[in-house]
Amino acid sequence: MAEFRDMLGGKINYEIPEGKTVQAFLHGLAQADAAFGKAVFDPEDQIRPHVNILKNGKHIGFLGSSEMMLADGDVITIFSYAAGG
Amino acid sequence: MYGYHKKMLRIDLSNRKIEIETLDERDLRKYIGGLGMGLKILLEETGVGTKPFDPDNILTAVMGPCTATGVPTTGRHHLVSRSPQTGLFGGANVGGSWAVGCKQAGFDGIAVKGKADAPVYIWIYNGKAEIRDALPIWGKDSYEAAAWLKKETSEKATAAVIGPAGERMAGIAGIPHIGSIVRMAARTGLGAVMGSKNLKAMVVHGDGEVSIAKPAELKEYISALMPHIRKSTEGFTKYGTSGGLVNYEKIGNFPLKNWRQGRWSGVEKINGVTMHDTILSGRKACKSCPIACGRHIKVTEGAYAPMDCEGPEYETLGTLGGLCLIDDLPAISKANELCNRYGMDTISAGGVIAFAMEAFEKGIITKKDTDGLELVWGSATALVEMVHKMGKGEGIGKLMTEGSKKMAEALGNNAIEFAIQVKGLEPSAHDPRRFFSQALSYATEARGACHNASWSHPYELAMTMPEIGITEPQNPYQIEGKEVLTCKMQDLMSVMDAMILCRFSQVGKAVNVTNHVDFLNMITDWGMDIPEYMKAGERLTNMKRLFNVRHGASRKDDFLPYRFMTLKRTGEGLSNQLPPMGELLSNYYAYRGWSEEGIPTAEKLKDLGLDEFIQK
Repeated sequence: MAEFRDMLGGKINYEIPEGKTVQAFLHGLAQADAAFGKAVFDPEDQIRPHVNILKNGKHIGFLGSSEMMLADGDVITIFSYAAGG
Repeated sequence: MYGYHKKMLRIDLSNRKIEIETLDERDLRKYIGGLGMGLKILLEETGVGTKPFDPDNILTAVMGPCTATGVPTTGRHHLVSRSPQTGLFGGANVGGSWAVGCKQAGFDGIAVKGKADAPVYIWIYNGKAEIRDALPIWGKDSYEAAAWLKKETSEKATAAVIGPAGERMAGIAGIPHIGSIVRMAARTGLGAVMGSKNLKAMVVHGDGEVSIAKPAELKEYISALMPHIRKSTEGFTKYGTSGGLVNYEKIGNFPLKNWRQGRWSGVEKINGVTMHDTILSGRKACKSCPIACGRHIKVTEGAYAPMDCEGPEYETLGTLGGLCLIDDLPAISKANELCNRYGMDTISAGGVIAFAMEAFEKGIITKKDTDGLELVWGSATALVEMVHKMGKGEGIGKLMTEGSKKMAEALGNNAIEFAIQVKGLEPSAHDPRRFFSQALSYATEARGACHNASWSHPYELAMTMPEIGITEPQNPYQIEGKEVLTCKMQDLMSVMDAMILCRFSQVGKAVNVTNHVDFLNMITDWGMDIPEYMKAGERLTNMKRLFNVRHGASRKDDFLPYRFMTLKRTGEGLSNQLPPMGELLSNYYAYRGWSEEGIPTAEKLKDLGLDEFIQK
């Protein structure tokens, strides 16, 4: 959470075109900030295994394709995890 | 002396003798505390003939120099004994409020041997200790017993108190610690060691302080570091240890169906984010911890209501949940609470229930054996009922609490093929096929399949620790250099178990090794550098190994279950790699300076200052 917020906090003004998906939104942020892009995406452009993305509190791994579309007011949470119990 | 009281409480229950041993500063610098001091006592004072339930077996609970000094995540202690579950080195690290209570009572640790002639508890407070009658609470669950003990001693007290599983010396019995928070010294059956000694509880409270060499400097250092720790661990605070569970399932790290299945949609219902959105009612922290990964839950409706108690953490969700394909969060929470009450390790409990479910599926056990219970995958009813049977030692539940290895041996029919354990200890919820350092660590750790022995898989995922040469996350399937990563992390974990520092202080690089040494030096004024600190860790890893070698263990015991070495999982996005254990082990022994059979060499022991343990 904090690490990603630190990368982006208050410095990106990024307009999301209507109908964009969560992935497109993340790619847009990655293009705007290289450090963020490297932290979130691996060299094959896949989301890194320790990076968790939630849309309105739900992990995107459980969203259908229609649910991946962004609408006004949606909240995207990004946090990393490299641990367990 | 700073950081320590130099006092070890020595108790012999056979003759009810209490003594205070004065500790030598040279020993404290060499072994640091916690795991280190426990190992020193275990190696020096038990022998080849000392069986786990012999009165001569010793149980130690030792804090570290940082405990009760305000250093973050150090409100913990390490317990050591010969394990009844594995017959080898037994150890468990636990947080909560016991460690700070005992250190503030004026002791660096406690070593208990002997066997009382009737149930007793030990009350430790402000420089004193008493052995008291525990007959009124013998047979009570840990929560009920702790409530009674607090009334008898102090409402501020913390009790390390066994439940019925420990009393009847069940192999997977842990030691619940109940004070300001409930925590369990779960692994390797140390609750059964207490039971064998007729020791129901060790209760502590203290009001004293620990002397610190540079108190103002330490306070300022901690204040400066604290915002970084809070930020780095923010995800843990919000979602607990299971916030990343969904990703772990996605990448093949989460255990499913007794380690047979590749993917499972059930994780949607049992992960930390779901818990946060449904039953979470509060967060709980061990003493001196800003992270507060502990969950408190409230369930007000459904089959398992009412519940208002500690919630399950990641490993428990993996073992009582994923391994048994249980996607009912309240049911897992109930099973977790019952394990705490009966005093059983949730990791081994989940592992052995999954094993029994597979035995049921294969017809090796039937409803006749389970008293009519349909022990099928995904049955929440079966899970909760089986935990009751295990806790009470009823029917097949009694055999199950000896662990999956002993149960498989009793069942025959090649059941050992699917008893997933190393040295008799069930693995935690991390798949060694996904991270080869995890495979190597499960195989080589003295206490058995334990992820905490190396805590290395995050360093194959995203993390680095440049001070000890881990400058880039390592490819999880890479063979070359895997032994280096595993050994370095094992040694770091060993010294952290002596210091004592929680594993989660590493989350998000919250605390690094430079911080460790700075803490130690500001407290003790020793001027220790990172090489000396890491060498202490290597010494302790070797001492654990030496204890196992003494009891007949060698390379033959450093195995992985066949399933991990032969079964490729299928499912979207999963790798089909399997760990090549022969090569990994040979590289590991060579790097360690051990023989090809996995025995530490005389040269290595001399190098580590362990000459007295060289076998003649």
